[in-house]
Amino acid sequence: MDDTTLLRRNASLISTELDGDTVMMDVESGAYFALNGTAGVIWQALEDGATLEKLVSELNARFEVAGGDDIAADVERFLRDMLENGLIETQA
Amino acid sequence: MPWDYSAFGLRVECAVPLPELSAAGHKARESAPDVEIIDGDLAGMEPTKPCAEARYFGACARGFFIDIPEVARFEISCGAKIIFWRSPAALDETIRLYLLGSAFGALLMQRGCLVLHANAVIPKGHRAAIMCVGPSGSGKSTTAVALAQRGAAILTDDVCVIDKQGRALPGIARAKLCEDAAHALAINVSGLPHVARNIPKLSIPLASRGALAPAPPRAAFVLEPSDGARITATELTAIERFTALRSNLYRPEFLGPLGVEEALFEPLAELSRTLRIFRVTRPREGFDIEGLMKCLLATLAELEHEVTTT
Repeated sequence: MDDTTLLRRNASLISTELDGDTVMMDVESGAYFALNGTAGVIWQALEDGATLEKLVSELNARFEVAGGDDIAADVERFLRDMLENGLIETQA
Repeated sequence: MPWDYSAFGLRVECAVPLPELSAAGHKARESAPDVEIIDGDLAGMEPTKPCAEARYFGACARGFFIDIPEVARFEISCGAKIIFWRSPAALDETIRLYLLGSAFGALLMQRGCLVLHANAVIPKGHRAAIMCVGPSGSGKSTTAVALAQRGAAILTDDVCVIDKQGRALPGIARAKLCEDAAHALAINVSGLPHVARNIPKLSIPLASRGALAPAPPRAAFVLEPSDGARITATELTAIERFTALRSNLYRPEFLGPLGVEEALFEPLAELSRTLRIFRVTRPREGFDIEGLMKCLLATLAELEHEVTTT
């Protein structure tokens, strides 16, 4: 995965919002996941597919935080985590 | 003539008597039954997906089966029919224990119901119900029966069905209580039957279900014996509520083979949004049932106060 890899949600996940957090279930495996507020925002942004670059610029614009590099590192870590858990997939 | 009963809002017609259920009202008998329970030969029944580990339940051609060695085999189909095939030596009450527990639970799941391992009680002077969940031995039934001794109505014990309107339904007309809990509550146990032979739980008869209406639960309590010295109640967050409800689903291992896991996701989330849930810890030693009831009722009173003042 690099800045411009297109990432998509795993199609076998269903998700719903609970008081600003997100819970999801993998209908293939029966596994459940929970995402807290900001992670849920990233999940929402992945609905139509997105790249790391696009997600970072969207989050920077939305939360107006200084030091965009730190956010990029956090977002990348989170995306890798989701990739490993099968919540998202890369698309060539 | 089959016997006619009502449980969980359903009219149940059964080939054998089920004394744990309430008789259906005359009006109900004019319509076709929702559920038919008959005995039949299930010798040829095969699992559709044989799995590596031997399991006592699974999918079969006509729905779902449960196979309890030396008791009975059950086939549950379309949320409307249970066929049981008894082992020659099995006792009626043992068969009924599985029929009204696992088999009926599976049938309710086939009907799309949210089935929880919980009880629901309407305390005296209230219109809404409270629910107790928690592991076996955490004091759910003891709490329900103790509240009933103070005028509460037990809607259901052990198996709690939440309908599509989010209401807890009146269930089976008995509570299952350990002998020592019955003694602690000063219940005269002579003449009370055990739920089945070799199971150290007594069957406490409850009032006829006909007099009870479904009630929305206002709060649920997760009962947890702990090493602490006091009884405490802590409210759960939304994600914690979802997790608590999911981990207290009735026979969750049935959901996959029944193919209903996905359909239950949103109802489970909806109940997590609306139901206030509290983790209630109590000292492991010396079950202070009075203190526990006081804690639950005080928490409920606070919630009702919130409702009337906002």
